[in-house]
Amino acid sequence: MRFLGTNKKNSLEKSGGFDESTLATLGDAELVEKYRAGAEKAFTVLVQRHTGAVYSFVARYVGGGSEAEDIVQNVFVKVWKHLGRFDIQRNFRTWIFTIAKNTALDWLKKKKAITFSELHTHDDTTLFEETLAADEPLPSDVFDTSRSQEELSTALSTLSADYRAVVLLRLDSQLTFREIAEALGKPLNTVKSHYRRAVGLLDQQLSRTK
Amino acid sequence: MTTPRISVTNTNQLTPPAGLVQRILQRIEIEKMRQAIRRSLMFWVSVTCLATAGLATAGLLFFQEAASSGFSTYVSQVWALANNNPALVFNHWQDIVTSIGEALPVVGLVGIAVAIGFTFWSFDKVIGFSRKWRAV
Repeated sequence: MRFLGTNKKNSLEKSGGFDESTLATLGDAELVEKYRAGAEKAFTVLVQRHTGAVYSFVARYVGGGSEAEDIVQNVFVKVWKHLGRFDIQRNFRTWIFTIAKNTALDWLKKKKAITFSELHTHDDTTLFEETLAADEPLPSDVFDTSRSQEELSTALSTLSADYRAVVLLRLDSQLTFREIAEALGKPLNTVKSHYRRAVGLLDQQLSRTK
Repeated sequence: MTTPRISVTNTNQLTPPAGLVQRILQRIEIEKMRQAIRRSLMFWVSVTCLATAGLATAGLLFFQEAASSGFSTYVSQVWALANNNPALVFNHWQDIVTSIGEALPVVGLVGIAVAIGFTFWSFDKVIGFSRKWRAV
């Protein structure tokens, strides 16, 4: 039985015979396979690769603060714990964002800090559907760089958790709609619908602050 | 209906705080330690339970052996004799001690001593790993 302090692998063994620069050229699925084969540095490379995107998503999702860092740490601990059961055929990135979104949502629920837009219900219907403009603004208009991060954070916080997740995964994390649908476990058309409505709401919100 | 793929270049990803990757990896090392401690704790708790059951069994066997060998009867007779005629017991103490030694359920005694030692040792391990668990 392995007890504490008996892990005496040297650096080369920890990387499975590969150095970190070589591991960095591998794809996510290959890194997972290498990690399962005993190359512990492969997981380090995965963390380095995805920390930025996960942090950015979580920080915007929960509204910033030091809590974002704690949540990101929890996300990667969960990723590490469940890496043995991860299906290599799946997209690793969408899987990690699924965990990130669920972890952040759990945190929000604990803090009772979820804001639900009065305009939307949970069954994808909207009370004001008819009043939405036929031509929703392009996200590039909404996310004008002349706007401060604070304006953006405030506007994002007015969205429901579901809408916020879709917008951030699309615009901040640069996932495709299909990947977002996979990450959130929702139908593709629902994701697209949420996205359009969310952008419209953001535009309304940001227009008030101009 | 397809949604056009919109190329967005205006949103900037937030930069994580410096050292976040290292803190994540340290946190995972701590989780590894916690898992190892948890495994060890579960193992030694199981061993302690088995050792306690073994101690009870050894105690039972000792008393059974003591009864079947006549040891307990002999000791009670010597005790009664010592109360009635202490001088007799004192004069023949060597013979009495030899007789007690011959009747002693040695196997049962050794068994109970080993069981007590093993139970205390495994319980000490449980205490040690519990302390480590609280410290991590």
